[in-house]
Amino acid sequence: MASFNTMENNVLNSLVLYKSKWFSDLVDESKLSNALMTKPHEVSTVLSYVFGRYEGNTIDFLTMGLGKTIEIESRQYEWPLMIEFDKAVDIIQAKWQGSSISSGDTPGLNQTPIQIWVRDKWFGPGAVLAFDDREYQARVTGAPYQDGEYWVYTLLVADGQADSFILPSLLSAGSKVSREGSAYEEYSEEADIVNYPTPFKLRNQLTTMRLSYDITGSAVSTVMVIAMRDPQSGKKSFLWSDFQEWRALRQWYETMDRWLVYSKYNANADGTTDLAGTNGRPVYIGAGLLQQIAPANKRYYTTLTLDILDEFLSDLSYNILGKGERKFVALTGEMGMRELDRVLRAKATGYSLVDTHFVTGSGQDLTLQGQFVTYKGLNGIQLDIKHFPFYDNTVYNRKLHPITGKPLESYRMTFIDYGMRDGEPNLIKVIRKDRGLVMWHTGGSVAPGSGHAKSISTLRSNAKDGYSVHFLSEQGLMLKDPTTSGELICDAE
Amino acid sequence: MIVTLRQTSRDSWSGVRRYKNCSVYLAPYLTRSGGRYTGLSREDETKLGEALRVDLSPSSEYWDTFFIRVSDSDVVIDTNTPEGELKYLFLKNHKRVANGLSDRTKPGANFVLINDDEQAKEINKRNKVKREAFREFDKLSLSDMRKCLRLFGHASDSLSNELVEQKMNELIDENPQRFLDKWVDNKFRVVEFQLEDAVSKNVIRKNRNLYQYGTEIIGRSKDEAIAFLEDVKNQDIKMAIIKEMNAK
Repeated sequence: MASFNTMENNVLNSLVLYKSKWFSDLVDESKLSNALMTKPHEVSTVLSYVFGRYEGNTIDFLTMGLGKTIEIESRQYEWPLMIEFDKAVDIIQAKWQGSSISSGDTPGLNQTPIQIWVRDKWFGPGAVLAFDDREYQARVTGAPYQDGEYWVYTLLVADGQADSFILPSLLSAGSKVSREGSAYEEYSEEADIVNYPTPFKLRNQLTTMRLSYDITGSAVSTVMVIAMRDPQSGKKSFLWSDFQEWRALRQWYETMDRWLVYSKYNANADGTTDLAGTNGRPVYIGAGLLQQIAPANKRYYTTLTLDILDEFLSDLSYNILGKGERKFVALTGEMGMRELDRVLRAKATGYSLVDTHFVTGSGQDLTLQGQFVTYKGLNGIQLDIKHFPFYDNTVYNRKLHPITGKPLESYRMTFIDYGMRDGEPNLIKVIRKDRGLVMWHTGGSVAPGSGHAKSISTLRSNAKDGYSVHFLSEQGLMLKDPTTSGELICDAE
Repeated sequence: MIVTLRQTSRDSWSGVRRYKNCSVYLAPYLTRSGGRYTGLSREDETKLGEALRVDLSPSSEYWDTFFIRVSDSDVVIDTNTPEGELKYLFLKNHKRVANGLSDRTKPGANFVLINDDEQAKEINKRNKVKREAFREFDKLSLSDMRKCLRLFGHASDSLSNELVEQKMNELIDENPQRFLDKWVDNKFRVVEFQLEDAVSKNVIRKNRNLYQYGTEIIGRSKDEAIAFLEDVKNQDIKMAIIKEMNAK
């Protein structure tokens, strides 16, 4: 019996895709539509992998194809974005010797106290604060007290010198103070405090996509075969489908992938939407990849240079502190590949091209290779460049580069951080439980699997000479930390 | 001069202008003819190029890496320095930048360049119009207000005096210039009111842009109809219209 239960990456490495006539090895259990019913997760992972590898459906490949999916039971999903654990606090007002501070004053001279008004209770007694010029430091004396909506801190110049003072400009409204450290006397009871910033919450929702197609009764039954070989046992297994079904699946996967990139969120603040379908029920659309990274780093260019690329990667890395986590995949069109190749090959001594296999490693060490061109650069930056055919498609990308006449989108470079965050992948596909890929048919004279109806007692759902197949998927994308992704966009009028 | 560059639009999904520690880099872009937008005239290129000792022609490599970085706070530009002037001229006509708050509806612009002096001038100009409009409003009798409301397309006959005054106040506050144009500076306002009133009483019939009195076409647009009623030759028809209106 055909088997597809070992869907490890090494099995998929020896995967072959070909068109054929039906043959005896293609048993019913390995028919794609049947297999999807019995092993939905494994088989849809294989499909994502196949379409990712052979058709360029990269987002689906990077998520579903590599097993980075989660199933949820509700339409909306939220995740926290912890941007920072510490922060600089705005000075609202400052006083010295009971009066506001003017430019000629010497606040803090002779260890006299300075009062500052800030919005948050962010520091504890004994904390040493640095001003916008870090040469100037002051220590918090005692606990802060509340004055209306503000907290008042009493500070003493930290260097303890009688002739030291804080520059008045550093105490003006709008200046900031941040925690530098803390210092205490012997036998003290005081201590600095731990801050628990409220995480910024991001919310997205699943989109229900559908596709239907008809197969006529006289359609030739050519089949598409996915052959896999287990390198350990050498055993071959197959998944197969009618060629028509395969073509529809290909279109389906391509549309899903494009939608995961370009879709735009349509819910109001309360989660409802004003967009209604034919039957009057709401139509929900989730935020796609580009919308999720829209407020992240974005740089426009006309000619790509190494400086631009270097600065951009450095900006992306700014929010990632661990060097081992600086793994980016740049999705770009044919022209973007050429631009990157030109810049990196000709000038980038800091970057080295890595030889490739398709997928190596696992977990945090996962490396995308083969169809990806991988560069390793300074500061632990790894850049995988992946051709993204959607950006080249002239049907969908009609704005052209004024000089080359190629789609402008082909020059677009979308950098996604696909490293790990607290042990979890940064880019995840979210699907509704059991509704990641739903397929069914309404049979007429023919039905998939059982062929033409040969008896008057055969019950079919309609009188069509053929059958209809329906696909449905409820899915969305979650880029857990969008601050480490961004785009380089070739810009034209 | 000090100008401020500010991002105006928030992302509709995340609700933020920019994530923390993230930036957008405004840079030159390609024009339809394949050139490069720099915002500089030939004279600017020469003058600032000499001051900065760089080649500022559009094809210069200088523009490959030129950018203005905008993060979560405003960018303040001092145009009294050559660098500041260059940035200001670059931004002034940039496709993503509106030049002043009055230009905020510019399509595709999600940044605004605010010049405090110019801004103040603009606001003062608007306020002057508003003050003038309200001065004229004070001079209106209730009967004039009702006529004026009719010109704004409101059926004022059935409204109480209080509501008429309130409605007029709202209209002027909303768009003072429109009030000046439609009433104060409109020398045909009396005839225009008569025309609108006659249409509302079905004495003159209006079919799309065609104005008819009985079987006679008096105009193919509002302006034509007003000219017809103003014409000395047509005063008998005008009198007949007024008589019929009074009878209704």
